[in-house]
Amino acid sequence: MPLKKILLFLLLLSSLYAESKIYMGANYGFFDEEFTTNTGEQSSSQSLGLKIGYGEREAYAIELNLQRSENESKIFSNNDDIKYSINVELVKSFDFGIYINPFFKAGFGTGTMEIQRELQDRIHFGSLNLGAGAFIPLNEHFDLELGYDYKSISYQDVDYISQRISYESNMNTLYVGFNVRF
Amino acid sequence: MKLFTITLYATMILFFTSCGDNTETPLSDISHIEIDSPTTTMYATDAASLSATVYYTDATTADVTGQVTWSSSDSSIASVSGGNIVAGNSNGGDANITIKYRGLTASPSLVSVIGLTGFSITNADINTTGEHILQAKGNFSDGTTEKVIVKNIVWTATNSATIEVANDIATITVSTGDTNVTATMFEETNSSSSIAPETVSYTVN
Repeated sequence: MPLKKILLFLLLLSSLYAESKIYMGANYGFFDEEFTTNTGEQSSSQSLGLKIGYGEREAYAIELNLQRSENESKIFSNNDDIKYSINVELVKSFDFGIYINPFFKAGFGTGTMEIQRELQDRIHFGSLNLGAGAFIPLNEHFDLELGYDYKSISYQDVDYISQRISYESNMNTLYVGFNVRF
Repeated sequence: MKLFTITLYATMILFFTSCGDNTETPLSDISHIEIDSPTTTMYATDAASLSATVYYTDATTADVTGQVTWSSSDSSIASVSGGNIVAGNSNGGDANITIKYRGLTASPSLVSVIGLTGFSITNADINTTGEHILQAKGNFSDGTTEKVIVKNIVWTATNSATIEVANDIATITVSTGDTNVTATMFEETNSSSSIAPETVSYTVN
């Protein structure tokens, strides 16, 4: 009896995910990050992302995204380096019978950046991610992706000895990407 | 599709017009830490305190006395905790006090402890009943003799006299008869040095 239940469950699972596919993609975008400090430190530059996903272009998918964000600002130190992050996001896309598949997504991420402070040479951060955009299918296996990402970022405390201060920022990214579905 | 295109263009225009300049002046960083007094001189029977300050790159400062780790080069001469210095024994001597915070150190501060060579009890000629105040006055290696010792002194009395110590003042209540009063000074830490107890005998008729 338990074996039958397991087989039925597996059959149900396989039918539900019959249309799901693994896909990979790359994206390139511009971001603007504004800190929530009194002086409103700001960083704007370009970012590059690589991702792997599993799901449907017209329904749900889950994505693992590696992001590399350039740094042209000096916020934590005179030598703030490139920001690397890894993000996991759940994507819900729609098929309205038009040429594009709009989507929104939500998830979280974590990352790190090398800095050059007296007491810290690296700062870590975590983020809550929201996003929206559209897949533009070229054919069954390829699609373009236009999107907007919002990240609410919380940085590791900065140690001033007399106190430890947490910094937070809001990061907005517009990007264009390309996906290959297998 | 038209709505999507318009929305996309509007979003991009909004995004790029809202992008600000990159910040070029970083948050202030730590420049260095310092002990506020490069030298301190104290008597072996006293306590002293030091403070530590952090200097930032934007020229501001903050007190970090409680945040840094304090240490002494010779705790038998002077020990330190949270900036509070206590002489280790009555011999005196020099010790370097240093601070450290996560690999960050400061120049040491030199503490010179003036040694105690002996002490005497005041009011050695009590000849009436009633209350009298007793004091222990130290003889120090720098020639000082009138400095009252309030630390690490234990008072005892025999026979009918009683001694109460309040606010570092020893008050003896003397009745008629013979009384011996002994003041014993003990060392802050175990040490080979010790100061002999001082005893005064009173006879009140």
